[in-house]
Amino acid sequence: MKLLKCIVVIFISFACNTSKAQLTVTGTDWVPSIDASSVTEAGIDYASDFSIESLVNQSEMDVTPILSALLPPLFNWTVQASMTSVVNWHPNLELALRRSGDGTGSSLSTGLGLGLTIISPRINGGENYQSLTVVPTTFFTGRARYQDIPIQYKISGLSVLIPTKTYSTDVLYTFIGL
Amino acid sequence: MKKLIIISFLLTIQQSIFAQLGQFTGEFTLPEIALIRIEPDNSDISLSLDLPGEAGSMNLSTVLPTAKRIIYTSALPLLATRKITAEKTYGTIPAGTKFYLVVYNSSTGSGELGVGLGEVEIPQTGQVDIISNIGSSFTGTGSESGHAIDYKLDVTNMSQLKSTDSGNIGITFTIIENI
Repeated sequence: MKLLKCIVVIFISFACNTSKAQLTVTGTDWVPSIDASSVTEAGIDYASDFSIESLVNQSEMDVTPILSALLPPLFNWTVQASMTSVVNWHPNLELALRRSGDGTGSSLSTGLGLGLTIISPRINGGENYQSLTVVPTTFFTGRARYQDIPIQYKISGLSVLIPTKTYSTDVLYTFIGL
Repeated sequence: MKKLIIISFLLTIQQSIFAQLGQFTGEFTLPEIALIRIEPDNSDISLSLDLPGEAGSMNLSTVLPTAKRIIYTSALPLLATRKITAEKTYGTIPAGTKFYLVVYNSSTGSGELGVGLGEVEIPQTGQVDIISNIGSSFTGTGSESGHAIDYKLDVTNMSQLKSTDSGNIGITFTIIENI
């Protein structure tokens, strides 16, 4: 029995060091072009509902939890999103993002061979646009493994009263889980 | 053995929570915009001196109040400004008269609206400023929007006036950046 416990500990420790959960985001940076003719006539501002949307899959995210397979009570995970900096941003501008699809989910097997349990994939939330701030907030939650989760971005709040220049920010995704 | 398992478990959590960060960059440029329009339209207007009511007198000035309105949208970098100029681009101002625009501040719109420079003589040649210090702003549209402009004609030298003198002149308004 002691031998079995030792094997379990060694296996978990090995997993800690070699198989950490992974979140990867791929895709190109989004550099939309805003045409001056977006303001259609003299005397007016941008339309109040004017916005620019990225491709529906401007970013694609892979979530690969490994250790949750070893610890069934903790196999749910959360992805948070936030802006890393507003130094080169304007407070009236709004950057929002949404999960435009589920991607491809795949099951995880758990139980260390001591009774196999299948964790079926599940993904929830994030389908509607949500505004980003520097405070990380929950984007969506899920469990098991997902690949190619498409993410779409939108900029709104444009106004001629905002000084003209190049604005930029980074979006940071944080995976919380095992 | 239990301690070893707990330590290992804690190590697992420590290394796995906030396990990975993904990053994405968004960047865009707000463009500069300069749009100007004459309201209610750019149709011709007429100014004529009234006939004298009695011998020995004459009205030496005629004004058409709020003959036109200037509306604009201006998007600029921080601290930059624009101005609007007027220039006679065709025709001749009749001899013995001077032609003026009287330009008021806009009572509508938002942002750093320009300053109407009041009564400005339009010379035979060259541009003159009529609205200054336009920042990022828009005047709004509609019948009461923008900078109202009176058109005014003064007689300055009766001896040069001819009763049949009349002519058309064209005034061009331009919005440009202050350098």
